[in-house]
Amino acid sequence: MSLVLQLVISGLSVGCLYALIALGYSLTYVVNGTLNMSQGQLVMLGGVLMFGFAELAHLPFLVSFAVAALLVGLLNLGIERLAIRKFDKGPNSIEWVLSTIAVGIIIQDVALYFNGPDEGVTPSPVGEGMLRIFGAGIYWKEFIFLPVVGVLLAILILFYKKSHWGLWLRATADNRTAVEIMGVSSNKIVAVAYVLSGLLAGIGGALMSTNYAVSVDIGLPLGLKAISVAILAGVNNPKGIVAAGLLLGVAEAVIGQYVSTAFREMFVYGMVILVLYWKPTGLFNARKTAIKV
Amino acid sequence: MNSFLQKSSGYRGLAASVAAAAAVALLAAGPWLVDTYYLNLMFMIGIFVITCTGMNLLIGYCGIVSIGHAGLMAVGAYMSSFLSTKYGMSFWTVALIGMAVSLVIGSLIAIPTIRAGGVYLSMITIAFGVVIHEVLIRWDSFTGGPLGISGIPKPQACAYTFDLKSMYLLVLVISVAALLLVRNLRRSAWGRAMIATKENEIAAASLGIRKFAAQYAGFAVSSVLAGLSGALYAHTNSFISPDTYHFQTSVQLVLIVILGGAGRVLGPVVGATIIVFLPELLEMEKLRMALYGAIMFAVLYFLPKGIVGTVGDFLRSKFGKSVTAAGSGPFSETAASAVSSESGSFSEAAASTVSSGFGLPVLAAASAGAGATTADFTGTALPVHAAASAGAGATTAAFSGTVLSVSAAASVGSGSEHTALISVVATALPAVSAVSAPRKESMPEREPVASAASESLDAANLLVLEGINKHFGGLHALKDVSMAVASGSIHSLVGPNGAGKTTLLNVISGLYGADQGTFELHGKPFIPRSLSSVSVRGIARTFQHSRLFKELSVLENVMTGMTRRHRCGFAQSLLRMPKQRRAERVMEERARDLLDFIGYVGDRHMPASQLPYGHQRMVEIARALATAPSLLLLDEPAAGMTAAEIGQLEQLLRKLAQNGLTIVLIEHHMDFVQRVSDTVTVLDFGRVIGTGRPEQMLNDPRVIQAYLGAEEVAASAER
Amino acid sequence: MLNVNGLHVRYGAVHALKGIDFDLKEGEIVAVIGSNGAGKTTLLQSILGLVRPHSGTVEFAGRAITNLPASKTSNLGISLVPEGREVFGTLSVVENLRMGLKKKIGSFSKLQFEKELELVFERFPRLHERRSQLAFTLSGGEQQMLVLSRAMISKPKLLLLDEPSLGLAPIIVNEIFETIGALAKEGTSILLVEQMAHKALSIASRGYVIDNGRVALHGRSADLLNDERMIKAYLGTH
Repeated sequence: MSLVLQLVISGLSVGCLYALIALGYSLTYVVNGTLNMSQGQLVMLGGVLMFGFAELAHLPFLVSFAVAALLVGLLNLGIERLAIRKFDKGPNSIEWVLSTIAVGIIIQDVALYFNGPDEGVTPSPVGEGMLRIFGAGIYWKEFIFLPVVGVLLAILILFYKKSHWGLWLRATADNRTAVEIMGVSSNKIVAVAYVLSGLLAGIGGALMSTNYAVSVDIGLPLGLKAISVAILAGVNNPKGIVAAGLLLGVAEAVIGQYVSTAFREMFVYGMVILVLYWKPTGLFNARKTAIKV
Repeated sequence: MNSFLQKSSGYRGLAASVAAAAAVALLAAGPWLVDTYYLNLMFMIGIFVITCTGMNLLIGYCGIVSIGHAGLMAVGAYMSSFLSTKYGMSFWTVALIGMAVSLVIGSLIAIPTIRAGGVYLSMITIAFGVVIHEVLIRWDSFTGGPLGISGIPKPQACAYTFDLKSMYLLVLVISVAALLLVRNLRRSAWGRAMIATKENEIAAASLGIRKFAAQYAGFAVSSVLAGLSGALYAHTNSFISPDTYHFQTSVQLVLIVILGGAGRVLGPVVGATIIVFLPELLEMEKLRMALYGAIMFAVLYFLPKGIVGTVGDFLRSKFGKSVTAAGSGPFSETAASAVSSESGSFSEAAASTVSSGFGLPVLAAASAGAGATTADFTGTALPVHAAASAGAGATTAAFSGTVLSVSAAASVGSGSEHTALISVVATALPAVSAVSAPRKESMPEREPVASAASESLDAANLLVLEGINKHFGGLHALKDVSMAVASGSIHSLVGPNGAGKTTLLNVISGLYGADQGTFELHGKPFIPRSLSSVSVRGIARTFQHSRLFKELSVLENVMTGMTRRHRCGFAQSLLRMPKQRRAERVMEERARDLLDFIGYVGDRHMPASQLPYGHQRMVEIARALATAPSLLLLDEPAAGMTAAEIGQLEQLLRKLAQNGLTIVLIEHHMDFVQRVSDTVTVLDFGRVIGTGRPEQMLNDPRVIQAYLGAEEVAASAER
Repeated sequence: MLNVNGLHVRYGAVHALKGIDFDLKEGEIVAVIGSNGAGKTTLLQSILGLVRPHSGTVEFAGRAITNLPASKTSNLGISLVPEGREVFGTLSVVENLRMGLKKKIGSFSKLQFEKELELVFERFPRLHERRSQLAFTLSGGEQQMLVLSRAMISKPKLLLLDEPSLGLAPIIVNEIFETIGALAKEGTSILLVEQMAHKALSIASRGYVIDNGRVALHGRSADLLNDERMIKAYLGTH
């Protein structure tokens, strides 16, 4: 019983990170129908930068955290400008898929060049202590993800629902033509979405580095896992993404425990293929967009 | 002029073949010209060419970016290596097994994801590549784990063991074969269907082309080729390990394709050569992937068509001037003159159109009684070959919008054994008796529609709509629309903007389903489920904005309309079997005839994107006609046309209607509507406010008010 | 107020506007009428700056705005109410109206926005009832009221209306047109593009009939209404 609880909590805490990263895809997708295929590498960069600032440059934890996240956010601004804007011709265009993949491999290779293949864990400010709940033992540094991500999501929702930019983001996602008619360049709003998405990736990576070993090659699998979450839920369905992220985290923990860790990835992607087959728009997805001719 | 061009292009084709043969011969001499180091590189180029030729099909033709093909190469390589090292099976057997397993696994990925399409497919293929890589590392007993498999035997044939030189030659042969196969495919209905689906799924579906078949075929070929090249590599290198097949390799494969030029047959050759030699030249150890990423970026920015595409376009623009010159003013006056000529006289242009036989409903007529040479058609001149029925078991036939072909030969009765019988819808046109015999035997124009039509001899209406309703959210776009379209008539839909005309057309053509209401086609219940199923029932449509396939030539665009009826088997198309070539020739000839019919005399091999807008619209009509419809739906065909072009369109529509085709037309040029229509239905606010003769409808106060919007009358119309 | 001279617009090979000249005085309603595809929408879009004219000039309040993008012209006080309404369906009514401000709520006092809202709701009480509903749940007429209000909330000097009657029941059309008349009385200049010529001319002081990218006919509304040529130009039955 306590093992199950432990698995669930541990699964939830990694799952909330998946959700956070996956929301990064959703943010840009709803606004202009593009996904940044280098999102995983951005997460990796966030983690590696965090480790570098905190452990190698000995900057204070919060400073390292903020700088790592901001740098990744800004980098995504550049990615939008260079790799998205010119190729943004709708969701079926293949150019932006290729250009952001190119960005991903460049980021990874350059990070490898400067950082080397080593992996590192940033010491968590909450220390190495254990939290005991009903006999289940879980590290504080792992558990802390849940409240932190919870707060971040609340801020994100507030921003999205209440702020000026949030309103414009929603409006652009809804009707890009109307936004243009009102005399606002929708490119600017897409750029904001990309910065936000980059921030989420950076934060996700930085958080991750406090409990998991990060190295330059974690980007791709993480990005894939996050996109799987997004696909499972439906890319334009943020609530579903959070649910799917948590579910996936728990499922992984359980399978890793009872089946095998090697089988874990296959399970995830197998699920995605099945879901795409039965419900191409995602498990939790309801909204359909009318075809315009 | 035309024949000169054809000749010169024939010479050019010959020259290209000679050049290609010379290049292959030179490459075949390679092993005796270069040392082992370079031979190894050339071998690798060959391996990449084989894989990337398949991927080129996928990326360039189908528009699917797979970033997991290294995984499929791994499947071929490991499968064959495992079997040959463990069970000592011969290379030839295990290579086949490797290809088969690769095909099966490729299908497992493709079948579920093609429907989701686009970026989803890319993501799944990446995931697949990553999973395969994991499996290779972890499944020790099969893959040998991180160390891989070593001691893979070289292929043997009759006691001869292949060395690098002979493997190189083998790979060269296979690469050339693969390139030829893909070239064949590009020249077949399958290739056109792939490109059509990639460019415009909706337009392709409206021609009856199914996306899944086309894209799956592409995926299957690329899987098999990837498996084959994997096996070839493993058995040459005699050692494989998971490192060869990671994500980066897949990216490299994609890079080769787009660097060379996606959709260009020779693209992979150029791309692979550069990608294999470049790191050697630069002697880079680090940042190699970053370099690839930068190249990919540079290609996307500066050479979106790749090297072969860019160079090809440049050469064409430099040396291909004469071709474009011939393209100016591509519409002949024949279309118009054919119709305007006096009753009973057959203009040559029209006659040749008809006699060349095909795609179009052509009224073949002759009085059943022998001797009568000219049929009497209510005074209108028809582009018809009146066939004096010289016996030949003259059958009285009525005419409907079915496709058939008539030829002068019929008059001699030479082709009587395949009397193509034409059914007639007596009401729309004066009933005529006709004898017709297609000039060609291979005129497979027996349409289900035809039989349906003949059964409805007495049914005046081709299409009947009853109580159609359609909602979009809160918007009630169509309210109890009922309408009957008489066979052989031109039936116009008019009404102010937003009245629901296009919605109605979309509902009829199956683009979206009606919420309520019944449809009857040829007097039988009919449910427009999807664009392609409606197309099968003999309804063709055009769209408000030109949806020609821009990468395809004018001729190929028209040929896509015949995909459903004339496409040969996939294997036949790959191998360009005689039967397939015949079918292609038939299609091409029909497409030419159709272009003649609409009066297009410009360059037929010009990419459709270069056509002036008005001509695009005309070619689009020809493409729709190529599906051999009995009902043609036109959504604002005159939009964007010049006055002269509108004139030609008018002649064309008349000609089509006289040939028995039924046309439903949405148009805003009211004078045009008035001149061309038999019946006009006015929609306003999602509702039919009247149907009648054009002059009557357009002078109806309710209609004028619907347009001009004065309230008394509008209110009464609203009721 | 607005002067358009020799405006040509081409989309690729299509010559949509072939030299349009017209003018509009302050506080005036001018109707531009014509059948579908005549170039009316293109005209509005090129005034706002969504479409770049090929040649010709556009002058607004004494200032050349020919090549200014929509982001600039909207700041100068030109608002477009697009054809087909284009509400933000997944945003609430109030949020839709807030979009009309273009500004951050912070830099514009919240109170002032409330005041503007009240004005809107006074004009269209039905929007008040539905203030927190998502816009896609509104009826066509309500959506039209919403976009009209959205355009008006930034207090434009010139309002460009693209077929406000499109797909609406006559009774709603009347209501919308009454509002348009009222707005003009309050001092907004209005360029009204319509298919419904009678309705448009009944509230406009002058009208232009556009046919095939050219001004076919223009003059005072009353004269146009009685002009036989209009119906002909309009229905294209020459």
